[in-house]
Amino acid sequence: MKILTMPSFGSDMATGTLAQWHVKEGESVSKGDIIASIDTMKGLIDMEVFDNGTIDSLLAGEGEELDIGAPIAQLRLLSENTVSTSNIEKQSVVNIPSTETETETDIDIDATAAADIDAKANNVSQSKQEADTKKEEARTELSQQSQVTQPNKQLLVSPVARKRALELGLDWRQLDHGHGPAGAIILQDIETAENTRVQSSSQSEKSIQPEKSHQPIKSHQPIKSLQLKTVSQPKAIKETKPTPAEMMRQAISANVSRSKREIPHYYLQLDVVLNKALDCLSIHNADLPPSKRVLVNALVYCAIARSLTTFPAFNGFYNDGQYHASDEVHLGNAISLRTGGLIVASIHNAHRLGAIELMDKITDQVTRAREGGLRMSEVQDATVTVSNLGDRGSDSIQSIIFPPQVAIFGIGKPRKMPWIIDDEIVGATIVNISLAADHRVSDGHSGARLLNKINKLLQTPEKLL
Amino acid sequence: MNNKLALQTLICRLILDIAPEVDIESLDPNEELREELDLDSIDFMKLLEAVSLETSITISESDYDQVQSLQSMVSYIENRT
Repeated sequence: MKILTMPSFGSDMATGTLAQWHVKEGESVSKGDIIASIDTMKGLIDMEVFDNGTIDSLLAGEGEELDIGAPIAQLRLLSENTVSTSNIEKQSVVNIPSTETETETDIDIDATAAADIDAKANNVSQSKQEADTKKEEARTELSQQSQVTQPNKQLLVSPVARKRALELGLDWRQLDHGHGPAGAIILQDIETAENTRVQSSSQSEKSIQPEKSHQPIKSHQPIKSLQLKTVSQPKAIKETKPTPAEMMRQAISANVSRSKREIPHYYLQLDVVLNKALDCLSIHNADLPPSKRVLVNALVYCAIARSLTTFPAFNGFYNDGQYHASDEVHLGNAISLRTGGLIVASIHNAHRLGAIELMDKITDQVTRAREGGLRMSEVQDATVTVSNLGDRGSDSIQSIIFPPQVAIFGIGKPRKMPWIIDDEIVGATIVNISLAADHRVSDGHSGARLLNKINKLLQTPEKLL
Repeated sequence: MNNKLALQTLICRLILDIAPEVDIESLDPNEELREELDLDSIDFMKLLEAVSLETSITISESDYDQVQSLQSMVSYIENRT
Protein backbone atom coordinates (compact mmCIF):
# COMPACT_ATOMS: atom_id res chain seq x y z
CA MET A 1 0.00 0.00 0.00
CA LYS A 2 1.33 3.43 -0.87
CA ILE A 3 0.31 6.57 0.97
CA LEU A 4 -0.22 9.53 -1.35
CA THR A 5 0.52 12.84 0.30
CA MET A 6 -0.16 16.51 -0.31
CA PRO A 7 2.47 17.37 -2.93
CA SER A 8 4.82 20.32 -2.78
CA PHE A 9 5.05 22.65 -5.76
CA GLY A 10 7.99 24.62 -4.43
CA SER A 11 10.25 24.81 -1.40
CA ASP A 12 8.29 27.78 -0.11
CA MET A 13 4.85 26.18 -0.25
CA ALA A 14 3.57 25.10 3.18
CA THR A 15 -0.01 23.98 2.53
CA GLY A 16 -2.37 23.04 -0.26
CA THR A 17 -6.13 22.75 -0.45
CA LEU A 18 -7.71 19.67 -1.92
CA ALA A 19 -10.13 21.39 -4.28
CA GLN A 20 -11.55 18.35 -6.03
CA TRP A 21 -11.12 14.61 -6.25
CA HIS A 22 -11.16 13.12 -9.76
CA VAL A 23 -11.24 9.52 -8.53
CA LYS A 24 -13.42 7.47 -6.22
CA GLU A 25 -12.48 4.79 -3.73
CA GLY A 26 -12.05 1.48 -5.51
CA GLU A 27 -11.25 3.11 -8.85
CA SER A 28 -8.27 1.79 -10.77
CA VAL A 29 -5.69 4.34 -11.89
CA SER A 30 -2.76 4.29 -14.29
CA LYS A 31 0.52 6.14 -14.13
CA GLY A 32 -0.03 9.69 -15.39
CA ASP A 33 -3.74 9.85 -14.50
CA ILE A 34 -4.95 13.00 -12.79
CA ILE A 35 -6.44 12.07 -9.44
CA ALA A 36 -7.08 15.44 -7.79
CA SER A 37 -6.96 19.21 -8.28
CA ILE A 38 -4.95 21.05 -5.65
CA ASP A 39 -5.62 24.72 -4.98
CA THR A 40 -2.37 26.55 -4.34
CA MET A 41 -1.09 30.08 -4.53
CA LYS A 42 -0.01 29.11 -8.04
CA GLY A 43 -3.61 28.39 -8.97
CA LEU A 44 -5.33 25.06 -9.47
CA ILE A 45 -2.80 22.33 -10.22
CA ASP A 46 -3.68 18.82 -11.34
CA MET A 47 -2.09 16.07 -9.26
CA GLU A 48 -0.97 13.00 -11.15
CA VAL A 49 -0.36 9.50 -9.87
CA PHE A 50 2.99 7.86 -10.62
CA ASP A 51 2.00 4.22 -10.18
CA ASN A 52 -0.60 1.83 -11.51
CA GLY A 53 -3.06 0.58 -8.93
CA THR A 54 -6.40 1.04 -7.21
CA ILE A 55 -7.47 3.88 -4.95
CA ASP A 56 -8.02 2.08 -1.66
CA SER A 57 -9.25 5.00 0.41
CA LEU A 58 -9.46 8.78 0.29
CA LEU A 59 -8.11 10.32 3.47
CA ALA A 60 -8.91 13.98 2.82
CA GLY A 61 -12.13 15.74 1.90
CA GLU A 62 -12.70 18.34 -0.78
CA GLY A 63 -12.06 21.85 0.52
CA GLU A 64 -9.66 20.61 3.19
CA GLU A 65 -6.42 22.56 3.61
CA LEU A 66 -3.49 20.32 4.49
CA ASP A 67 0.21 20.63 5.22
CA ILE A 68 2.67 19.41 2.60
CA GLY A 69 3.30 15.73 3.18
CA ALA A 70 -0.04 15.09 4.91
CA PRO A 71 -1.64 11.81 3.75
CA ILE A 72 -4.52 12.30 1.34
CA ALA A 73 -5.15 8.82 -0.07
CA GLN A 74 -4.05 5.20 0.02
CA LEU A 75 -3.10 3.53 -3.23
CA ARG A 76 -3.06 -0.24 -3.57
CA LEU A 77 -0.24 -0.83 -6.02
CA LEU A 78 -0.77 -3.09 -8.98
CA SER A 79 2.11 -5.27 -7.81
CA GLU A 80 0.24 -5.97 -4.53
CA ASN A 81 -2.72 -7.50 -6.32
CA THR A 82 -2.90 -11.21 -6.91
CA VAL A 83 -4.73 -10.80 -10.20
CA SER A 84 -2.48 -11.33 -13.21
CA THR A 85 -0.87 -8.17 -14.57
CA SER A 86 -2.25 -8.55 -18.04
CA ASN A 87 -5.86 -8.48 -16.80
CA ILE A 88 -5.33 -5.32 -14.83
CA GLU A 89 -3.55 -3.69 -17.71
CA LYS A 90 -6.56 -4.40 -19.88
CA GLN A 91 -8.87 -2.91 -17.27
CA SER A 92 -6.87 0.26 -16.90
CA VAL A 93 -6.60 0.66 -20.63
CA VAL A 94 -10.35 0.28 -20.99
CA ASN A 95 -10.76 3.33 -18.76
CA ILE A 96 -8.81 5.55 -21.08
CA PRO A 97 -11.44 6.31 -23.74
CA SER A 98 -13.58 8.00 -21.10
CA THR A 99 -10.91 10.69 -20.87
CA GLU A 100 -11.45 13.61 -23.22
CA THR A 101 -9.63 13.23 -26.51
CA GLU A 102 -7.74 16.49 -26.09
CA THR A 103 -6.05 15.32 -22.91
CA GLU A 104 -4.78 12.05 -24.34
CA THR A 105 -1.58 13.49 -25.70
CA ASP A 106 -0.79 15.01 -22.33
CA ILE A 107 -1.30 11.72 -20.59
CA ASP A 108 1.10 9.98 -22.91
CA ILE A 109 3.72 12.67 -22.51
CA ASP A 110 3.44 12.75 -18.77
CA ALA A 111 3.48 8.99 -18.53
CA THR A 112 6.78 9.17 -20.38
CA ALA A 113 8.04 11.84 -18.01
CA ALA A 114 6.97 9.76 -15.06
CA ALA A 115 8.79 6.78 -16.54
CA ASP A 116 11.87 8.95 -16.83
CA ILE A 117 11.68 9.91 -13.17
CA ASP A 118 11.33 6.26 -12.21
CA ALA A 119 14.21 5.25 -14.42
CA LYS A 120 16.36 7.91 -12.79
CA ALA A 121 15.59 6.48 -9.38
CA ASN A 122 16.83 3.14 -10.64
CA ASN A 123 14.19 1.26 -8.72
CA VAL A 124 12.10 -0.04 -11.57
CA SER A 125 12.10 -3.74 -12.06
CA GLN A 126 12.50 -4.94 -15.60
CA SER A 127 9.12 -6.65 -15.63
CA LYS A 128 7.40 -3.46 -14.56
CA GLN A 129 9.12 -1.55 -17.32
CA GLU A 130 7.95 -4.13 -19.81
CA ALA A 131 4.42 -3.87 -18.50
CA ASP A 132 4.58 -0.08 -18.82
CA THR A 133 5.85 -0.33 -22.35
CA LYS A 134 3.00 -2.69 -23.25
CA LYS A 135 0.51 -0.35 -21.65
CA GLU A 136 1.89 2.65 -23.51
CA GLU A 137 1.72 0.77 -26.75
CA ALA A 138 -1.88 -0.07 -25.97
CA ARG A 139 -2.57 3.58 -25.14
CA THR A 140 -1.04 4.74 -28.38
CA GLU A 141 -3.10 2.21 -30.27
CA LEU A 142 -6.24 3.27 -28.49
CA SER A 143 -5.56 6.93 -29.01
CA GLN A 144 -4.95 6.26 -32.69
CA GLN A 145 -8.14 4.22 -32.86
CA SER A 146 -10.19 6.95 -31.24
CA GLN A 147 -8.76 9.47 -33.65
CA VAL A 148 -9.72 7.23 -36.53
CA THR A 149 -13.21 6.43 -35.36
CA GLN A 150 -14.21 9.86 -34.13
CA PRO A 151 -13.53 12.31 -36.95
CA ASN A 152 -17.22 12.77 -37.72
CA LYS A 153 -17.91 13.80 -34.15
CA GLN A 154 -15.16 16.45 -34.13
CA LEU A 155 -17.21 19.64 -34.39
CA LEU A 156 -15.20 22.82 -34.56
CA VAL A 157 -16.29 25.49 -32.15
CA SER A 158 -14.78 28.89 -31.49
CA PRO A 159 -13.71 29.57 -27.89
CA VAL A 160 -16.10 32.49 -27.49
CA ALA A 161 -18.99 30.41 -28.84
CA ARG A 162 -18.13 27.62 -26.43
CA LYS A 163 -18.04 30.07 -23.53
CA ARG A 164 -21.34 31.69 -24.50
CA ALA A 165 -22.95 28.27 -24.81
CA LEU A 166 -21.77 27.44 -21.32
CA GLU A 167 -23.19 30.71 -19.99
CA LEU A 168 -26.53 29.98 -21.59
CA GLY A 169 -26.54 26.36 -20.56
CA LEU A 170 -26.71 25.30 -24.21
CA ASP A 171 -25.09 22.09 -25.41
CA TRP A 172 -23.30 23.18 -28.60
CA ARG A 173 -22.72 19.53 -29.50
CA GLN A 174 -26.42 19.33 -30.32
CA LEU A 175 -25.87 21.61 -33.32
CA ASP A 176 -25.13 19.81 -36.57
CA HIS A 177 -22.77 22.46 -37.90
CA GLY A 178 -22.07 26.17 -37.70
CA HIS A 179 -21.53 29.04 -40.11
CA GLY A 180 -17.81 29.52 -39.52
CA PRO A 181 -15.00 28.14 -41.70
CA ALA A 182 -15.28 24.37 -42.21
CA GLY A 183 -18.67 24.40 -40.50
CA ALA A 184 -17.25 25.68 -37.21
CA ILE A 185 -19.80 26.78 -34.65
CA ILE A 186 -19.39 30.48 -34.05
CA LEU A 187 -20.95 32.97 -31.66
CA GLN A 188 -23.72 33.81 -34.12
CA ASP A 189 -24.82 30.15 -34.20
CA ILE A 190 -25.08 30.02 -30.43
CA GLU A 191 -27.10 33.25 -30.31
CA THR A 192 -29.43 31.95 -33.05
CA ALA A 193 -29.89 28.64 -31.24
CA GLU A 194 -30.58 30.49 -28.01
CA ASN A 195 -33.13 32.81 -29.65
CA THR A 196 -34.91 29.83 -31.12
CA ARG A 197 -34.93 28.10 -27.75
CA VAL A 198 -36.19 31.17 -25.88
CA GLN A 199 -38.89 31.81 -28.48
CA SER A 200 -40.14 28.26 -28.48
CA SER A 201 -40.05 27.97 -24.71
CA SER A 202 -41.86 31.28 -24.19
CA GLN A 203 -44.49 30.31 -26.77
CA SER A 204 -45.16 26.97 -25.18
CA GLU A 205 -45.13 28.29 -21.63
CA LYS A 206 -46.80 31.65 -22.19
CA SER A 207 -50.14 30.56 -20.86
CA ILE A 208 -48.68 28.70 -17.91
CA GLN A 209 -45.58 30.47 -16.50
CA PRO A 210 -44.54 33.62 -18.32
CA GLU A 211 -41.65 34.33 -15.89
CA LYS A 212 -39.82 31.26 -17.18
CA SER A 213 -38.37 33.28 -20.02
CA HIS A 214 -35.41 33.82 -17.67
CA GLN A 215 -34.61 30.14 -17.78
CA PRO A 216 -31.17 30.59 -19.38
CA ILE A 217 -29.92 32.50 -16.35
CA LYS A 218 -31.26 29.77 -14.13
CA SER A 219 -29.36 27.14 -16.04
CA HIS A 220 -26.20 29.15 -15.47
CA GLN A 221 -26.55 28.89 -11.71
CA PRO A 222 -25.24 25.36 -11.18
CA ILE A 223 -21.97 26.32 -12.83
CA LYS A 224 -21.57 29.33 -10.59
CA SER A 225 -22.41 27.42 -7.45
CA LEU A 226 -19.90 24.75 -8.43
CA GLN A 227 -17.21 27.39 -8.69
CA LEU A 228 -18.25 28.79 -5.32
CA LYS A 229 -18.00 25.36 -3.81
CA THR A 230 -14.39 24.90 -4.80
CA VAL A 231 -13.22 28.46 -4.38
CA SER A 232 -14.99 29.86 -1.37
CA GLN A 233 -14.86 26.89 0.96
CA PRO A 234 -11.14 27.08 1.67
CA LYS A 235 -11.52 30.78 2.48
CA ALA A 236 -14.12 29.93 5.09
CA ILE A 237 -11.59 27.82 6.96
CA LYS A 238 -9.17 30.69 7.67
CA GLU A 239 -10.51 34.19 7.21
CA THR A 240 -7.22 35.99 7.87
CA LYS A 241 -5.29 33.96 5.32
CA PRO A 242 -3.40 36.05 2.74
CA THR A 243 -4.83 36.14 -0.75
CA PRO A 244 -3.27 33.86 -3.39
CA ALA A 245 -1.61 36.91 -4.97
CA GLU A 246 -0.09 37.88 -1.61
CA MET A 247 1.07 34.33 -1.01
CA MET A 248 2.65 34.19 -4.43
CA ARG A 249 4.47 37.47 -3.77
CA GLN A 250 5.78 36.03 -0.50
CA ALA A 251 6.88 32.85 -2.28
CA ILE A 252 8.72 34.75 -5.02
CA SER A 253 10.27 36.94 -2.35
CA ALA A 254 11.50 33.90 -0.39
CA ASN A 255 12.86 32.25 -3.50
CA VAL A 256 14.76 35.19 -4.96
CA SER A 257 16.14 36.16 -1.54
CA ARG A 258 17.44 32.65 -1.04
CA SER A 259 18.88 32.64 -4.54
CA LYS A 260 20.70 35.93 -4.15
CA ARG A 261 21.93 34.93 -0.69
CA GLU A 262 23.21 31.48 -1.60
CA ILE A 263 24.05 31.48 -5.29
CA PRO A 264 27.10 33.39 -6.57
CA HIS A 265 25.62 34.53 -9.88
CA TYR A 266 27.63 35.65 -12.85
CA TYR A 267 26.01 37.31 -15.84
CA LEU A 268 26.71 37.21 -19.56
CA GLN A 269 24.81 38.49 -22.54
CA LEU A 270 24.95 38.26 -26.29
CA ASP A 271 23.15 40.14 -29.07
CA VAL A 272 21.85 37.66 -31.60
CA VAL A 273 20.80 38.56 -35.16
CA LEU A 274 17.36 37.12 -35.87
CA ASN A 275 17.11 37.97 -39.59
CA LYS A 276 17.43 34.39 -40.77
CA ALA A 277 15.10 33.11 -38.06
CA LEU A 278 12.44 35.67 -38.95
CA ASP A 279 12.77 35.04 -42.69
CA CYS A 280 12.42 31.32 -42.10
CA LEU A 281 9.31 31.84 -39.97
CA SER A 282 7.64 34.25 -42.36
CA ILE A 283 7.88 31.59 -45.08
CA HIS A 284 6.72 28.87 -42.71
CA ASN A 285 3.81 30.93 -41.32
CA ALA A 286 2.64 32.49 -44.59
CA ASP A 287 -0.28 30.17 -45.32
CA LEU A 288 -0.99 28.95 -41.83
CA PRO A 289 -3.94 29.90 -39.63
CA PRO A 290 -2.93 32.00 -36.59
CA SER A 291 -3.06 29.05 -34.20
CA LYS A 292 -0.48 27.13 -36.24
CA ARG A 293 2.00 29.98 -36.64
CA VAL A 294 5.33 29.66 -34.89
CA LEU A 295 6.61 32.63 -32.91
CA VAL A 296 10.32 33.42 -32.85
CA ASN A 297 10.37 32.57 -29.12
CA ALA A 298 9.88 28.92 -29.99
CA LEU A 299 13.01 28.95 -32.16
CA VAL A 300 15.01 30.60 -29.38
CA TYR A 301 13.73 28.07 -26.80
CA CYS A 302 14.59 25.26 -29.17
CA ALA A 303 18.14 26.56 -29.69
CA ILE A 304 18.61 26.92 -25.91
CA ALA A 305 17.32 23.43 -25.13
CA ARG A 306 19.44 21.75 -27.80
CA SER A 307 22.58 23.67 -26.82
CA LEU A 308 22.21 22.61 -23.19
CA THR A 309 22.66 18.93 -24.08
CA THR A 310 26.37 19.59 -24.61
CA PHE A 311 26.70 22.00 -21.66
CA PRO A 312 25.63 19.90 -18.66
CA ALA A 313 27.00 22.39 -16.11
CA PHE A 314 24.02 24.64 -16.82
CA ASN A 315 21.23 22.08 -16.66
CA GLY A 316 20.59 20.35 -13.34
CA PHE A 317 20.25 20.83 -9.59
CA TYR A 318 22.62 22.02 -6.87
CA ASN A 319 21.63 20.46 -3.55
CA ASP A 320 23.54 20.09 -0.27
CA GLY A 321 26.82 21.29 -1.73
CA GLN A 322 26.70 18.93 -4.70
CA TYR A 323 25.76 19.47 -8.31
CA HIS A 324 23.88 16.85 -10.28
CA ALA A 325 23.60 17.44 -14.00
CA SER A 326 20.39 16.28 -15.65
CA ASP A 327 20.42 14.08 -18.75
CA GLU A 328 17.14 15.59 -19.88
CA VAL A 329 16.41 19.24 -20.53
CA HIS A 330 13.15 20.17 -18.82
CA LEU A 331 12.91 23.77 -19.90
CA GLY A 332 11.10 25.97 -17.39
CA ASN A 333 9.17 28.81 -18.97
CA ALA A 334 8.49 31.71 -16.60
CA ILE A 335 4.90 32.72 -17.31
CA SER A 336 3.58 36.00 -15.95
CA LEU A 337 0.07 35.79 -14.56
CA ARG A 338 -2.32 38.62 -15.22
CA THR A 339 -3.41 38.60 -11.60
CA GLY A 340 0.20 39.28 -10.55
CA GLY A 341 3.21 37.08 -9.98
CA LEU A 342 4.57 34.33 -12.15
CA ILE A 343 4.71 30.59 -12.47
CA VAL A 344 7.40 28.42 -14.05
CA ALA A 345 5.98 25.63 -16.20
CA SER A 346 8.34 22.95 -17.38
CA ILE A 347 8.45 21.74 -20.98
CA HIS A 348 9.59 18.15 -20.58
CA ASN A 349 12.42 16.88 -22.78
CA ALA A 350 12.51 20.17 -24.67
CA HIS A 351 15.80 19.15 -26.33
CA ARG A 352 13.98 16.45 -28.24
CA LEU A 353 11.30 18.79 -29.59
CA GLY A 354 11.31 20.91 -32.72
CA ALA A 355 10.18 24.54 -32.67
CA ILE A 356 6.71 23.64 -33.98
CA GLU A 357 6.10 21.20 -31.14
CA LEU A 358 7.61 23.64 -28.67
CA MET A 359 5.25 26.35 -29.87
CA ASP A 360 2.25 24.11 -29.19
CA LYS A 361 3.58 23.33 -25.73
CA ILE A 362 4.23 26.97 -24.90
CA THR A 363 0.75 28.06 -26.01
CA ASP A 364 -0.91 25.23 -24.13
CA GLN A 365 1.05 25.83 -20.92
CA VAL A 366 0.58 29.60 -20.94
CA THR A 367 -3.17 29.04 -21.31
CA ARG A 368 -3.31 26.48 -18.51
CA ALA A 369 -1.06 28.55 -16.23
CA ARG A 370 -3.55 31.40 -16.51
CA GLU A 371 -6.78 29.42 -16.50
CA GLY A 372 -5.77 26.58 -14.17
CA GLY A 373 -4.94 22.98 -15.01
CA LEU A 374 -1.15 22.79 -14.96
CA ARG A 375 0.06 19.37 -13.94
CA MET A 376 2.08 18.62 -10.85
CA SER A 377 5.02 17.32 -12.91
CA GLU A 378 5.02 20.54 -14.94
CA VAL A 379 5.55 22.81 -11.93
CA GLN A 380 8.05 20.61 -10.12
CA ASP A 381 10.88 19.48 -12.27
CA ALA A 382 12.30 22.23 -14.52
CA THR A 383 16.07 21.74 -14.80
CA VAL A 384 16.71 25.25 -16.18
CA THR A 385 14.54 28.33 -16.71
CA VAL A 386 13.94 30.89 -19.45
CA SER A 387 12.56 34.32 -18.64
CA ASN A 388 11.21 36.00 -21.72
CA LEU A 389 9.92 39.55 -21.61
CA GLY A 390 8.23 39.26 -24.99
CA ASP A 391 8.11 41.62 -27.91
CA ARG A 392 6.86 44.55 -25.81
CA GLY A 393 9.34 44.12 -22.97
CA SER A 394 12.70 45.78 -22.40
CA ASP A 395 15.85 45.35 -24.48
CA SER A 396 17.38 42.91 -22.03
CA ILE A 397 16.89 41.22 -18.68
CA GLN A 398 19.33 39.74 -16.16
CA SER A 399 17.40 37.15 -14.23
CA ILE A 400 17.73 35.50 -10.83
CA ILE A 401 18.39 31.76 -10.77
CA PHE A 402 15.53 29.63 -9.51
CA PRO A 403 17.07 27.31 -6.85
CA PRO A 404 18.07 24.50 -6.89
CA GLN A 405 18.69 25.17 -10.60
CA VAL A 406 22.03 26.64 -11.67
CA ALA A 407 21.19 28.75 -14.72
CA ILE A 408 18.52 31.03 -16.13
CA PHE A 409 18.27 32.65 -19.56
CA GLY A 410 16.75 36.06 -20.17
CA ILE A 411 15.36 37.02 -23.55
CA GLY A 412 14.84 40.67 -24.35
CA LYS A 413 12.59 42.34 -26.90
CA PRO A 414 13.61 41.81 -30.53
CA ARG A 415 14.51 45.24 -31.88
CA LYS A 416 15.46 46.67 -35.28
CA MET A 417 18.98 48.06 -35.38
CA PRO A 418 21.65 49.10 -37.85
CA TRP A 419 24.11 46.21 -37.77
CA ILE A 420 27.31 45.31 -39.55
CA ILE A 421 27.05 42.10 -41.51
CA ASP A 422 29.81 41.15 -44.00
CA ASP A 423 31.40 44.61 -43.57
CA GLU A 424 28.21 46.39 -44.56
CA ILE A 425 25.77 48.34 -42.44
CA VAL A 426 22.38 46.71 -42.77
CA GLY A 427 19.09 46.75 -40.92
CA ALA A 428 18.81 43.78 -38.58
CA THR A 429 16.48 42.46 -35.91
CA ILE A 430 18.49 41.82 -32.79
CA VAL A 431 17.55 39.99 -29.62
CA ASN A 432 19.59 40.10 -26.45
CA ILE A 433 19.98 36.70 -24.80
CA SER A 434 21.39 36.77 -21.29
CA LEU A 435 22.63 33.99 -19.06
CA ALA A 436 22.83 34.11 -15.29
CA ALA A 437 24.70 31.08 -13.99
CA ASP A 438 25.96 29.62 -10.72
CA HIS A 439 29.72 30.24 -10.35
CA ARG A 440 30.03 27.25 -7.99
CA VAL A 441 29.24 25.00 -10.93
CA SER A 442 30.48 26.77 -14.07
CA ASP A 443 32.71 29.61 -15.26
CA GLY A 444 32.13 32.53 -17.58
CA HIS A 445 34.24 30.93 -20.29
CA SER A 446 31.88 27.97 -20.74
CA GLY A 447 28.85 30.24 -20.28
CA ALA A 448 30.04 32.36 -23.20
CA ARG A 449 30.55 29.24 -25.32
CA LEU A 450 27.00 28.19 -24.51
CA LEU A 451 25.59 31.55 -25.65
CA ASN A 452 27.67 31.35 -28.85
CA LYS A 453 26.31 27.88 -29.52
CA ILE A 454 22.73 29.18 -29.16
CA ASN A 455 23.57 31.98 -31.59
CA LYS A 456 25.00 29.49 -34.06
CA LEU A 457 21.89 27.31 -34.00
CA LEU A 458 19.68 30.35 -34.58
CA GLN A 459 21.58 31.09 -37.81
CA THR A 460 20.31 27.82 -39.33
CA PRO A 461 16.70 28.09 -38.17
CA GLU A 462 15.31 25.56 -40.67
CA LYS A 463 17.06 22.83 -38.69
CA LEU A 464 15.16 23.84 -35.57
CA LEU A 465 11.63 23.68 -37.00
CA MET B 1 -21.81 51.94 -39.10
CA ASN B 2 -23.85 49.22 -37.46
CA ASN B 3 -21.50 46.66 -38.84
CA LYS B 4 -18.57 48.58 -37.39
CA LEU B 5 -20.15 48.64 -33.96
CA ALA B 6 -21.04 44.98 -34.12
CA LEU B 7 -17.49 44.08 -35.10
CA GLN B 8 -16.08 46.22 -32.34
CA THR B 9 -18.34 44.53 -29.79
CA LEU B 10 -17.40 41.13 -31.13
CA ILE B 11 -13.65 41.80 -30.91
CA CYS B 12 -14.00 43.16 -27.36
CA ARG B 13 -15.85 40.01 -26.44
CA LEU B 14 -13.14 37.84 -27.98
CA ILE B 15 -10.48 39.75 -26.04
CA LEU B 16 -12.39 39.28 -22.79
CA ASP B 17 -12.63 35.60 -23.51
CA ILE B 18 -8.83 35.39 -23.78
CA ALA B 19 -7.97 37.87 -21.05
CA PRO B 20 -10.97 38.22 -18.70
CA GLU B 21 -9.07 40.53 -16.33
CA VAL B 22 -8.55 43.40 -18.78
CA ASP B 23 -10.37 46.71 -18.45
CA ILE B 24 -11.96 46.76 -21.86
CA GLU B 25 -14.30 49.64 -20.97
CA SER B 26 -11.47 52.13 -20.78
CA LEU B 27 -9.79 51.01 -24.00
CA ASP B 28 -9.22 53.83 -26.47
CA PRO B 29 -10.07 52.24 -29.85
CA ASN B 30 -7.33 54.24 -31.54
CA GLU B 31 -4.55 53.25 -29.18
CA GLU B 32 -2.32 50.24 -29.59
CA LEU B 33 -4.41 47.33 -28.42
CA ARG B 34 -1.69 45.09 -27.03
CA GLU B 35 0.08 47.87 -25.18
CA GLU B 36 -3.12 49.23 -23.63
CA LEU B 37 -4.42 45.85 -22.48
CA ASP B 38 -1.06 44.19 -21.80
CA LEU B 39 -1.67 41.33 -24.21
CA ASP B 40 1.35 39.17 -24.99
CA SER B 41 2.16 37.58 -28.33
CA ILE B 42 0.29 34.39 -27.44
CA ASP B 43 -2.84 36.34 -26.41
CA PHE B 44 -2.65 38.20 -29.71
CA MET B 45 -2.31 34.98 -31.68
CA LYS B 46 -5.35 33.57 -29.91
CA LEU B 47 -7.27 36.74 -30.69
CA LEU B 48 -6.42 36.44 -34.40
CA GLU B 49 -7.48 32.79 -34.33
CA ALA B 50 -10.80 33.70 -32.70
CA VAL B 51 -11.34 36.56 -35.18
CA SER B 52 -10.64 34.18 -38.02
CA LEU B 53 -13.19 31.65 -36.70
CA GLU B 54 -15.87 34.24 -36.04
CA THR B 55 -15.52 36.37 -39.16
CA SER B 56 -13.78 34.04 -41.64
CA ILE B 57 -11.16 36.76 -42.13
CA THR B 58 -7.62 35.52 -41.57
CA ILE B 59 -5.15 38.26 -40.76
CA SER B 60 -1.80 37.29 -42.21
CA GLU B 61 1.45 37.84 -40.34
CA SER B 62 2.59 40.44 -42.86
CA ASP B 63 -0.52 42.53 -42.07
CA TYR B 64 0.01 42.67 -38.30
CA ASP B 65 0.99 46.34 -38.49
CA GLN B 66 -2.45 47.11 -39.95
CA VAL B 67 -4.37 45.69 -36.98
CA GLN B 68 -2.58 47.29 -34.05
CA SER B 69 -5.58 49.15 -32.65
CA LEU B 70 -9.19 48.08 -32.19
CA GLN B 71 -10.23 50.69 -34.75
CA SER B 72 -7.75 49.52 -37.37
CA MET B 73 -8.63 45.87 -36.80
CA VAL B 74 -12.32 46.64 -37.33
CA SER B 75 -11.55 48.53 -40.55
CA TYR B 76 -9.28 45.73 -41.77
CA ILE B 77 -12.00 43.12 -41.29
CA GLU B 78 -14.74 45.37 -42.68
CA ASN B 79 -12.77 46.04 -45.86
CA ARG B 80 -12.40 42.34 -46.49
CA THR B 81 -15.90 41.15 -45.62
